[in-house]
Formats: sequence, structure tokens, C-alpha cells
Amino acid sequence: MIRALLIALSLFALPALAQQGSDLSEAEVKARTESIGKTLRCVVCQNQSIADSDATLAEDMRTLVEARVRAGDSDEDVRAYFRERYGDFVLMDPPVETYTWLLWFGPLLFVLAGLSWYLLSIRKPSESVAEDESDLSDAERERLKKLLGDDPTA
Amino acid sequence: MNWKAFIPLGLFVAFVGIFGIGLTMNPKELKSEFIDKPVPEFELESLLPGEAPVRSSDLKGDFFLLNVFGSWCQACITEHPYLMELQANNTIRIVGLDWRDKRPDALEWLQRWGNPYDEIGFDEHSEVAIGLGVTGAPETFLVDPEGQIRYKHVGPVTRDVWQKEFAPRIDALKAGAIT
Repeated sequence: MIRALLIALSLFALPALAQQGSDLSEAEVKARTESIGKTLRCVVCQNQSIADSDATLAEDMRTLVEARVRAGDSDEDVRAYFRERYGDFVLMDPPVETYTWLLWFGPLLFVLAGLSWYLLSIRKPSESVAEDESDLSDAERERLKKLLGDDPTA
Repeated sequence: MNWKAFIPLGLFVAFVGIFGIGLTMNPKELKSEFIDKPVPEFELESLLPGEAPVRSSDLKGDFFLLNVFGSWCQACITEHPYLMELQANNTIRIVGLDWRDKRPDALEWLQRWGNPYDEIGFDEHSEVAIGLGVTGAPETFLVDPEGQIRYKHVGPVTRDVWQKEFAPRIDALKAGAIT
């Protein structure tokens, strides 16, 4: 009987224990779990964050995020925890590092390449069009004259 | 003909090449962040009723396999006979990590197929699995006597995989060829 009472009493203490290590409100914990979850990839579904995924592993990862937030970890701490275990892949936004610069700036490079090619091609009048008839063969010159209709023999 | 005319073709071929390489890579195969790092500390209750909890600190002393499995996992049945064989031949200690399972299901699974494990930790809520960066089952870690993870294999451990990946590594580590 006394044991049952003690257990019942200790249950009341649970919310207090859960708060240990931080003084975040329940709503704050949920909000931060959600926002951190959006930045972490569900590693079994490739293109979903753990906040969006129903996969069981994502569910467990969310639970873990929540536990870490409750324990007083900062958002960065939580991300670092997962990054240590799953690598950069677990981050929805890959970090800007020497080996990812092509990923981040590649598209910009393509735009610049395309733009400079375009600018060069409009600035310099195309040589092949502007050239005179001098590089036509005799036969071509004949044909051209015929087409233009100024054949002196006509 | 003007050499510039070949630029688009050249770019096209280059892209086909790059995408071709990309297609042959498996995005599910992630390298473990844990190679040559110690097994994260953990303590898990045993799957088997009445057995002592499985502690990472107790596992040191000899090479062992840490095999992530579950009764829900189809591919685990594929590797199971070979794990049984490793156990029967006393080749290596095998520690099981029963991941995201229900205890009755797991016990029934072991009853049905046999138990190749020396110890089994019951990781119902992925605590240890996430700690190890596990993405699926089966996954098998090779751990050395100091408790360092030396190799991780994703997918079933078959005879072929054992002979190609595990056995040579263990031999080399034992001979001190790799440190």
C-alpha cells in the first residue's frame, strides 16, 4: 500500500524531473524540436526532414531531439550530435566546405559561363556572317549570282 | 569544320560521363562516421529475460561483431544461416542489437531460426542504433579488442562478404599490419 502510494506520489514528480537541466516551457520544447527537426534529414527516406517523415527511425530521432532540447542542448548542439553520427548527410543544408563548394557555387558558375558566352557572342559580330564573298568558291559565286538574278548574261 | 562546333557535343559527353558515374553510386551507402572510433558507451537491457544488461564497457577484450537486426527485417533472415555457422565454428563473438522490435516477436524469431548471438541488447527506441548512425538492418560492425569500430557492413553478411571484408581485416589487425 505504502509502495503504491510512493509510486503514485513519484509520478507527480515526473514533470518536474523532465524539466531538469533547462527551464523551457512545454510549448518551447515542442517548437524547438519541430524547428530542429526541419533541419535534419530522415536518413532512411533521403528527401524528407525528420519533422516531415513518418518513418519509424525519424520518429525515434524526433524523440531524441526532444530529449536533448529538454536536457538543455542548444540547436547547434543537437545538430552536431546527429552530424557526428550520420555525417553531413543528416543535415538538410549541407555545410559550406571546401569539398562542397561546387555544390553551392556550381549553379552560379553555370550562369556566369552562360552569361559571358552570350555577351561575347553579341559584342563581336559573328565573323562568318560578316565576311565578304571572297571565301566563296567559284561555283558558289556563280550560284549566288544566279540566285540574285543579276547574271550579266541574262 | 570549325572546332567550336564540337563544344556542345563535348559538354554533352562530359555531362553524360558525370551523370553516368552518379548513377552507379548508391546514395544509401553512407560511410560510417565511426570507423576507427570507439563504440559509443551504452547500456541496454538484454532481449532475453533474466539475462544481464549488455554494456559497451563489458564487450572489450576480443574481436566481436555488433549485428543490428530485427524480427521485422527480411534481409536479416538471409544472413542468419551464416551467422549461425560463424557461431557454431566459434569464429567470432557476435553481439546482437535487436532494433525497434517487439520482445515477443524477437523471441519467437530466435526460436524459429536459432540464436547466433552471445548477447543481445534490446534497442526498442533506437537509442543505441542512432548513437551508432544506423540507417537500416542488417548492419554489422567489426569491433576490435580495444572497443574500436574497424569496419561497418551494410546489408547481409554472407560467406562471400565475410571472406572478402571481415576475415582479411581481422587477420591484418591481429598480425598488427594495420593499427
